[in-house]
Amino acid sequence: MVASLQDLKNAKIRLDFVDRYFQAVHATTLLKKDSYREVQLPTDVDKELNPRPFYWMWIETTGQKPEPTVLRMAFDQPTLEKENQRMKVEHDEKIASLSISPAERWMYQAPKAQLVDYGSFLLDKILASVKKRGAFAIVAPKNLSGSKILIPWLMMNGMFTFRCDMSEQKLWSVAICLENGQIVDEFYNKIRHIEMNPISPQKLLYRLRMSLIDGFQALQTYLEFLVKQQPTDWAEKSLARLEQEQAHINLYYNSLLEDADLEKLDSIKIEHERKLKSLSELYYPTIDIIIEQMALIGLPSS
Amino acid sequence: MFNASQKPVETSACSSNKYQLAWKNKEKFDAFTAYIQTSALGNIESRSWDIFQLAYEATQNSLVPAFEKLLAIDHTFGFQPLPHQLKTAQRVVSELRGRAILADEVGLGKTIEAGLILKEYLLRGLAKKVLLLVPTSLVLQWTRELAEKFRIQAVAQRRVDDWQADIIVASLDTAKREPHRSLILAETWDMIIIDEAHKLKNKKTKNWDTINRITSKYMLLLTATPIQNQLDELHALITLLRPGQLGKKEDFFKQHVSQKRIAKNPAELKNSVKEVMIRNRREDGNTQLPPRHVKIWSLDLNPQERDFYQAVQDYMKREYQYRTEKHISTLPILTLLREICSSPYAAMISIEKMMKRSNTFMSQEEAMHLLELGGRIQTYTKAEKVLSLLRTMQNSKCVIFTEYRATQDYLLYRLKKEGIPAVSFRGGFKKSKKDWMQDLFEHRAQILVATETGGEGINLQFCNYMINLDLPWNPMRLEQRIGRIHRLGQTKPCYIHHLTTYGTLEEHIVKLLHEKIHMFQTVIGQTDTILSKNPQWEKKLLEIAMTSQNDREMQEQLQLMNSSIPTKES
Repeated sequence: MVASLQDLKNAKIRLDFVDRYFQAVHATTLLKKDSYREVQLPTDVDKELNPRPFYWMWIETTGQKPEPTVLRMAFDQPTLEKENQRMKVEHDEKIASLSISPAERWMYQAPKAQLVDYGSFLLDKILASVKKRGAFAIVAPKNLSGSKILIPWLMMNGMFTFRCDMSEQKLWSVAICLENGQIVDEFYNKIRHIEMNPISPQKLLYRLRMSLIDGFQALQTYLEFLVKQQPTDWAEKSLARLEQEQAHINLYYNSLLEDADLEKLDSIKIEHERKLKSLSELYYPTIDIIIEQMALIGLPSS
Repeated sequence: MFNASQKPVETSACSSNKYQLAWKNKEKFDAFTAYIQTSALGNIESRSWDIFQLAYEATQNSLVPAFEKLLAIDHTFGFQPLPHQLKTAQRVVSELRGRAILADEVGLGKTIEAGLILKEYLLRGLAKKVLLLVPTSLVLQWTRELAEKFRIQAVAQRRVDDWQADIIVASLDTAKREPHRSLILAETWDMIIIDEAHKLKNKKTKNWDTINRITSKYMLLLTATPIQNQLDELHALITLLRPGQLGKKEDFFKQHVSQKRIAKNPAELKNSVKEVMIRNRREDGNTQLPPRHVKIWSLDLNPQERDFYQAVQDYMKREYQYRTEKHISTLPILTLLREICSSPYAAMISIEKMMKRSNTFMSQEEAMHLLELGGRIQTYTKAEKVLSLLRTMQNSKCVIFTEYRATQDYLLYRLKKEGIPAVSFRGGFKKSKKDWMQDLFEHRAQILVATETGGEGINLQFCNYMINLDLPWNPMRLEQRIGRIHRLGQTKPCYIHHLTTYGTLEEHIVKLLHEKIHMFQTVIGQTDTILSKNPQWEKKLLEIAMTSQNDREMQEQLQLMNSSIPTKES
């Protein structure tokens, strides 16, 4: 499935994304209903999603077995209310069946679900965990007919950030064949539909004709070439604005200098410099090339 | 083979000079080679490709598109921003380029607008280090609202090392003091937001100087009252945002100011101002606020009060002379007269205090005489008026504002005697006590008696009656008061009563208020009715003041006019 921009606002897509995440990190799904999940977390995932370092320090130094966390997640408001109600009823029934005093009853609270909406703390944590865990891969297609030879490709995914007083980002995915140096653009889209399996790097590295660092540098050069193909009108406009505002400020401060007392000259000059600095930080156009992911991919020679 | 030390240089200036090119996280390569090495040892995660794909989608999802509409729209929680708030935020980002005065009338949600703009820049990665300077009493409220409404985690500044936080809320009073000031100035900020920015109206103050020294890309100045008294206040604010926008101060005066409060080329000035300021008004129709009705009551002091006022005024003339000769501030004696208009009780307390101080002309005997005159007063005109107005409101909730604590105390005492449940509200209260009082007022009491300083930051839209027992000199402070009840969330028409006394200093205050409001309108645009519109009354007052031969004649004329004023008891 292809998620496109800001799709996680859609409850269905969000649910699918979260499902795939928990599957990928080996969490156990305890309950699966419409727009609702209960998931038990492995310790390493628990640590990433629930930031409580002192708890873990205590558990680890005392050598205790941690109680695994169960996440109860509703993906829309009606489900949240419905499931909370259900858990309360179940809880009350269970409590009623126990012979305990009202004071003790107070100690037991019905579990509550959390709403996983766009921008929620949990979803943000999941996204951060995904980015951390999904930065690298070494893979080859799952279904290799026969014993075909694997050609190693170095793929790099990331984005350009175009920035002045406003910003815009564009994705890129490039790869270089480490055998013959061929560079392919939009690489990820070309291979995303192939089912992949992780493999040991030894299966690829022995065939390298070009070192990884050389491949990396070649890709950098290529990306800088790609940047130059991008439209520059936004940068020109921003530079023009910068110059105009600079002229404005220069005029103002120079006129201040004209009738200022001698001892004030320096402080006016310093202020002038400071204002120019703020201005160029606001308007000076910058392009950041941001590397997000790297992968070694073995593809059968065609 | 994986020798990372051969990495190429980190940034390279672009040959075309149109922009600067920068590489981010090249160190990823080192991490990748380390990953390969651990994988080679057999440490292979079976679902690594699944999560690699998820990470690609996550990046895709977080991608910032070109600016067409606010991304922040989808990042508000538990409330829906109003159309005028979205439009304002959009304009600030796309046209004013993040440097603006947000000058909406009180109660239209400047906080929401600022929150939207801040969120937009955060989402776009354009701001990271952000400073919010707000009144001390609002630091926690701002922090809470940013967290709840925008899920922006800001730190409420308490200790010196809090300045290292990315997003920090502090008070201007703290920021201008050492050691905080130096720490703030040493930092390069992406964005600075200043609430109640009219505190920067004077270029000669430490407030203004501190802000002027801060380096920041984006800057938002929030104030419902960009001009309070004089036109050069606007110049001070705009110079912070865009130095030179209105030219040098001298040129500005030559071009735009004919008198302190009168603009020369209102249209031209308005246009320059528009480039840096956005002001939404209740009347614009983008907010469905119920109407407000303002009534000025012109009251006559009773004979005992009049005697007291006269005696104090006589004494004052001598005291004024004495003070001018000795170069002592004359402000306290002016206050004394205003206090009598508010409540003789307030004036008596001040006289007692003056008696104890040595730097006054007043003798013990004289003070005793004045106090005796004050003590003779049986009923207080304004307090009685308040009680009769409350009777017409039929137990509705009502806020009563006064400038003076002594008046507040007296009124609370008077209300208690009448068996009317009332709570008080002052600036000195701690946040928790303020919340408590506000809650008491909403659920238990009928009346809230507040002093000016307590007015900022309380929201009383559940109440639609207000009595101003006395009027502040500053029309915008009056607007701040009214904004406490006449704000978003108010569902009923608001009735606001101003109490003034004739033949006293208050008369002049009302006149001055009118003049100031006029100035505000010519430059900034319409304000909602702060004082009820009654131009004839004002004109007549002026005429009487100018033509009367003596006080007595003026008094008579005023009496005559008094009976013809439509705002008089009806």
